[in-house]
Amino acid sequence: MRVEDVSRGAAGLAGCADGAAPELRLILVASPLAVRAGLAGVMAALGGRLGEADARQNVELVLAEVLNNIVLHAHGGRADGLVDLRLRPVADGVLCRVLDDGAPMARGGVPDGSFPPAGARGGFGWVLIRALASGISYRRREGRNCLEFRIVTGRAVRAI
Amino acid sequence: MIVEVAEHGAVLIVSVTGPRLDAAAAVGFKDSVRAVVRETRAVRVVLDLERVQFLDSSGLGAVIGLKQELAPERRLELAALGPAVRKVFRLTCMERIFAIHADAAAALSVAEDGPTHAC
Repeated sequence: MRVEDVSRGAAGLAGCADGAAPELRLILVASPLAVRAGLAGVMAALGGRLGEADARQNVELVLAEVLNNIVLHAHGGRADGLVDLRLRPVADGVLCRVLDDGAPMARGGVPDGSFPPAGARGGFGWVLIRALASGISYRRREGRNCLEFRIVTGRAVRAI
Repeated sequence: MIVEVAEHGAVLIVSVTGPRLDAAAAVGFKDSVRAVVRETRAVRVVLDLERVQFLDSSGLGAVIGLKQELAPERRLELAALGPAVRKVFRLTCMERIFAIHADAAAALSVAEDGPTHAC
């Protein structure tokens, strides 16, 4: 497999190897309002090709949860944090690669998406991501987080 | 975050006017609802989400937090959940902890102790 860093020399974040160029790439500052604007950009660019409203909702929701996690946890409100989002629509979903130069994921890995305890106000982000995305992989490389996953837009969405 | 408020006896309808109840809006939303609830004697607070097209886990957490803050004196109920909003409540199994009405009018038409939605 050919391995190259598509972002080398660009303004974004290097450190997540990939053999295929993304179809859509966005670089955002890590803030809730930038996430909102970024999602609007993604949906404007890809929304028409994602099929039913249900599929578009899945894409917007999963990306929102992933990006908000980075703002909140990896960058922890740091003003100069960056997020590099790369998307490629495929037949039954959207392949996603998200890089950030914030802190590593807690306990070194991806939460399993189990339900938070009764009465919890938070902890639902990964429940939603796990329900609507597959093939989730996380790497920490050269001081950067790289999260890859496929948002499912076809019928294979896990039923709960 | 702007909310519209209409008091109908023991029921307070709080309508969220913005299309997104997301991480950027969650704190302002909670503050707004807290402020209007402080001034009411209503025992049922119905959150009308008809105009909300997108809700993420931050918005969900804000709604759950308000429900907990209002209890036990007041009950937070929901109305007019669109498909995208409903999906978040369904996937997180939070449908079962709220009374959910088709719309604000339906919320007003039910008895004070009435219906709870089963997940």
